[in-house]
Amino acid sequence: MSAETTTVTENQIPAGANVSIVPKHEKKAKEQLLKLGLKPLKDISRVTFRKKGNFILAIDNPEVFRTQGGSYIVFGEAKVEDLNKRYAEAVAAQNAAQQAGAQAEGAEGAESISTTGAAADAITEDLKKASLEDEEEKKEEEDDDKEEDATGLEQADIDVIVEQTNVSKNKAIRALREHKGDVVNAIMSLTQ
Amino acid sequence: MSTTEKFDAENADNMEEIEKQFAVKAVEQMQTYWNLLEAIPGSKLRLTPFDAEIYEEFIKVFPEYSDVNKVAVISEDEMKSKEGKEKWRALFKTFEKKVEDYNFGTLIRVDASEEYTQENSIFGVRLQFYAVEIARNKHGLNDWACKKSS
Repeated sequence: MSAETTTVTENQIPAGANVSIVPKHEKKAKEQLLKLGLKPLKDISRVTFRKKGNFILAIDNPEVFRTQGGSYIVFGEAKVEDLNKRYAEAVAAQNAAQQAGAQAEGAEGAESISTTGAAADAITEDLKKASLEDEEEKKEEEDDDKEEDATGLEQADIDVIVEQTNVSKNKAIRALREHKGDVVNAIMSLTQ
Repeated sequence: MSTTEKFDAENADNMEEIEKQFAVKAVEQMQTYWNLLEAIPGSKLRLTPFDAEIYEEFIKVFPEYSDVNKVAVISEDEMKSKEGKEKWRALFKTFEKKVEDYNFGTLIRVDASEEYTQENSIFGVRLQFYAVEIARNKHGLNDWACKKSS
């Protein structure tokens, strides 16, 4: 059940799509979910899913339920937001405001600069954070290039795991180590 | 009050969840092992770093299992008899710190010449599975399952 919800929220809503759910079904689904012992969570104003390329799937004022397994189910209208676009717009607005501000000297103009400027800054922050996360991911992948220490492990075991799961050698080594050299358990951990 | 009722229901739910999880694990383990047997002849397979040790101790505790026919078809009644259980417990003690998940519920085939079927599978613990399967692999009793000609 939890697996389904995550795939839906992550991938199945195409960019620009307006997702609308038939209320009747929605109501039924909610009833079912409540029967499954889900806990509604209050005071959540926005749920976002970050996707590649600074795209964001955002659901405003969602209804959020938590399963006992710790996964979340979110109801609401999902909207695709493009941070790049938003940033470009905010910068354009900032520039326009600056020009306007230069022309018309006054308290009002100055105020509008500061507000749009803040909006742009906030988005810059978002973008920075997003790119930082990307870098972290890259680092993890890079770790894979380094040869893991295979001492104490049987080469044949590592080969078996690689063959069975199509993972990198390093992953196989790590899994094998994690499971005290237990081949079946190591494969299980990699195929879930 | 209704809150206590709810609490009970939740507890029951959890229990069921846990039970299911453990069955899921057992089946996953079974499938993984079977896939391995299909890919690699059992006689060439190593399950743990302690295969030799497990076999040695297994035969020490159950000398009768050095007989090939005895490991080819195991007797659930014998394994789960009072005497059998006691002997197994001694074996568990030897490996409880070494073998991962040694006491996890695991499906074991009664007859090594058959697949995991409803009739051919019994429920044991992981160390029993290892002891029996390591012995079977040692004698090449599982090699038939391998699809690659070896």
